[in-house]
Formats: sequence, C-alpha cells, structure tokens
Amino acid sequence: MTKKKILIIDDETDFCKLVKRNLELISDYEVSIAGDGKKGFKSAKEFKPHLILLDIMMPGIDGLEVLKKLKADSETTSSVVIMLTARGDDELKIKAAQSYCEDYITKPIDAPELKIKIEETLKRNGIK
Amino acid sequence: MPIKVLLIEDNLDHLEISKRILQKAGGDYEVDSASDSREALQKIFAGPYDVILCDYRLLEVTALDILREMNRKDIDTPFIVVTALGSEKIAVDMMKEGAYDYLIKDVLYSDTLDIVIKKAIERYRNKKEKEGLQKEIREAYNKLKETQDQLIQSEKLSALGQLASGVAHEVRNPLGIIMQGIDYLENKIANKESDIQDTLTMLKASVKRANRIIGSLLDFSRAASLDLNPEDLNGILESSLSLVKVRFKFENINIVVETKNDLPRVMADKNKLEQVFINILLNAMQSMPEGGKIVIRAFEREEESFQNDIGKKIPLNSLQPGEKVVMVEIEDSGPGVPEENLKKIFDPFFSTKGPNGGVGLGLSISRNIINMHKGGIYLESQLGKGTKVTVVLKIAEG
Repeated sequence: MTKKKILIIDDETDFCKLVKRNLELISDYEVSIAGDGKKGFKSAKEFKPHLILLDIMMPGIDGLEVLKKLKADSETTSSVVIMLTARGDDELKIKAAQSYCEDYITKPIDAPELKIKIEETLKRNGIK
Repeated sequence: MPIKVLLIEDNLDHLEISKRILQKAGGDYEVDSASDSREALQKIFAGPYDVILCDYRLLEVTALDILREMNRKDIDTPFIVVTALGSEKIAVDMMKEGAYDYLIKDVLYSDTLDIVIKKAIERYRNKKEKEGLQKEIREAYNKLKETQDQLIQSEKLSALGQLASGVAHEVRNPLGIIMQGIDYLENKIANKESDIQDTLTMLKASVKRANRIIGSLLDFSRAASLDLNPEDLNGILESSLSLVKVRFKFENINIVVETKNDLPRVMADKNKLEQVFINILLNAMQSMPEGGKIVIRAFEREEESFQNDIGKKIPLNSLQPGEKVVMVEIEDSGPGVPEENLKKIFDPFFSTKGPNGGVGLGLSISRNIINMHKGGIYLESQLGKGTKVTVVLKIAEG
C-alpha cells in the first residue's frame, strides 16, 4: 500500500514544519510543504497529493485563488482540499468556496484532531 | 361648524343678556348654560366646548375654583372669566392659572364679547397647532437620536469586528504553531518525567484558553449583524435547553419549564437568541456549584403592564405604549449577585469566575444581541435567594 500524500500550503512556515513533523510521527502520511501560493500550486502539480491543507490568507496569491487554480487544472483537480483559517470572519468566504473545498479548519488545532480530520476527509472521498 | 359656548352665570338676567349678545353676533354660536358650579363642572366634564365663559363670583365658589378643577382633570378649553369693574387683580390671578382672557362687565361688554371669544379660540387653535408641531419635532428628534445611537453602536461593533478578526488572525497563527509544537514534544520525549508532562499539559490548556478569548471577542463583535425572522420562541428555548441539558444533569440542576404553548412568534435571529439563552443558563448553572433549581418562564405581556411591574428598569424606546411583547424569565436559586457587581454585570470582560472560568463577555454579548433585536434584557438579584434574568422581545407583525 502506497503512502497517502499530504501537501501543506501556508506562509506560516513554522506551522508547516511542525504539522509535517507531527503527521509523520503519528501517522503514515508522506508530507510536503510550500510557503506560498505559487510554490504550492507548482508543488501540487509535481507531488500530486491526495489531500492539500491550504491557508486562506497568504501574501501574493491567496488561498482562494490557489483553490480555483487547483480545481481548474486537470493535474491537480482530484486533490481534496481542506482550507486553513486563523481569522474569525472567513466562514463566509469558505462557504462561497465550498463547492471546491471539502472542509475547513480554524487554527489552532492539535495534532490528533488534525489527523482525525484528514483521515475522515480522505475516507469520505473514497481515497483508501 | 357652530362655536359651542358654555356660559356659567348664576344671575339669570345676566345670562339672558349674554345669550342675546351672542345671538346678535351671528348664527355661528351654539350656547349652553349652567347656573351653579356643580352643573357647570358636570357639563364641562361631559363636554367638549369650544369656549367657556364664566362669571367670577358664583354662589359658593369662584371661577378660579372651576378653572383649578379643570386643570386638575387636564381639561384644556379656552376659559374666559367675566368680572365686575375694578377687579383687574382677580383677572390677573385667573390668567396666571391658565385663563385665556377676561371680560369686564361694563358698557363695552356687549361690543367686545364676540371678539374676545373668537380671539380666545384662535389662541387656543394656535397653541394646539404649536403643541402638535412640538410633539412631531420631539418624536422626530427621538427617532433620529435612536437611529443615531444604533448607528454609532453598529459602527463601533463593526470597527471592533475588523479589529477582532485582525487580532484573531495575528494571534491564532502563533497559537497554531505552539499547539503543534507541544504535540510534537509530547510524542517525541520518551519516558517523560511527570513534571515535563505536567508542563506540556499546562501549555496546551493555556493555548486553548487564549483561543477561547479570541473566540469570545469574535462572538462579541459578530452581534453586529442579525438574520431576523418570525420565530417560535418555545422552539428556540427547547433547542437551547437541549444543548445544556446533559451538563445540567451532571451538575445536579433541576430545570422547571413554565412556558405558554400559544406564544405569538417573535422577530429573532434564531442562532443568536439561542446563544443568549445558553449564556444565561450556563451563568445560572455556574452560580450553583452544589446544584439547584432553574425556572424558565415565557409569556405574553403588554408593554404597559410590564413597566408597572418592573418600573423604569428596562428602557424599551422602540416599543409603543400598549405594544405586546414576549417575556422570558430565567430564574435560578443560586447565591445571587452582590450589589456592587450588579452595575458591572453587563460590562465587557467583567467576570467573577476566575482565570479558568469565562472571559466575561457572555452577558455583554447577550445584551448586544438583545439590543439589536430592539428588545430588553434585565437582571434582578437578591443575595441568598437567587437571580432572575428577563429578556423582552418584540412580537413579529402579521
């Protein structure tokens, strides 16, 4: 069985690093990280992740733009996306984008909870 | 329309003369008369008249007594006093009491009677018109003030909202990193000594606490917008209760619900109103760590009767006198709130629950939400007896 691949796109690079460390420690995922939208999109095309954790507010191309590009591109459209937010008023934006993304997570989230959320989302989308 | 005049005069000859003068003045007078004070007052109370002409000296009383009685009953009819020659001082006293004019029984009486009456009526009409305009201006001013207050409040909330979501973003990102870091250390440090584990647990609890504060701040500012619909209040109360029921059972709290089944629908934002009731219920629960009783009542009332019971305690500017409202009372059997805390109880960040309890925004958020509903929220408390929170809501039209 091949390892599930997770891509984290967030300009908070410490957050990316620690989530990667945690997921690799407590789960069997292969995790890759990208520090901005542009790198994220590129990485999604090359790494072909099963699931992407995508931060909304990033400098340059923001998360919602990245989401649109991911869904419009045949190489990346099958990756399931969970949006990450630290704001409180992002729910409306996420609702608007809900036809493209699977779910969203408000930071801070602890590692076991994040692991469960990823597992459930993958299962819901038939990725075994 | 004829001018309705009441002549009050105990001298029948004088009465007859006045009647004739008015008849001669033209056909636009409808004259009624009274020959003593009792008959006069009866007729005045039964009224209305366009003008009252009263002889100063009646059998047992004077015109001043009649005018005072009218003032006492709030009857405002142009009142002209008729005095004998040389009684100007009396006339002045009468004018001070509110008489419109005076007439002296002299040679000019017959010539001036008609003019004085018409002048008094004109003054009365001008006065009423002025009062009407003043009332309109006052109402328009009050409405403007109310709208302005609401505008300021929602501007404040919207500014706070922007600030809050900015702060949320700036703080939650580092909190996210700390949280992941703690989890990593927890898993990575094998054979942890108990004080290391203890420290990590404390760190994690603190991250969660800081995050709760951010959440409350966002809730506080989010009251700025409501999604109002006609809602069934009993349904909202039920769903609020269902969310806290299990905890109540665990905390040994007995809930008594005394709501009327046929309550009219209220204009409400269902989710926000639930938040208000849950806040109040949780406060009640937290005030009774040894367990206790919470009574929930909901009933319909007229605004007027509601004010009689509670007096001026709930300002309800947006309600019309006699407008019906629905009241919800949530009463606990807890220790009550000390007098010095009552004034601060709705203030943001006021809490008596200590660092591990609430942030102190629950009641403040609740009040914002209820104010946005144009309703009222009030807290009454007696030490040793308990606390009652009353929420007043407007009934949905139609």
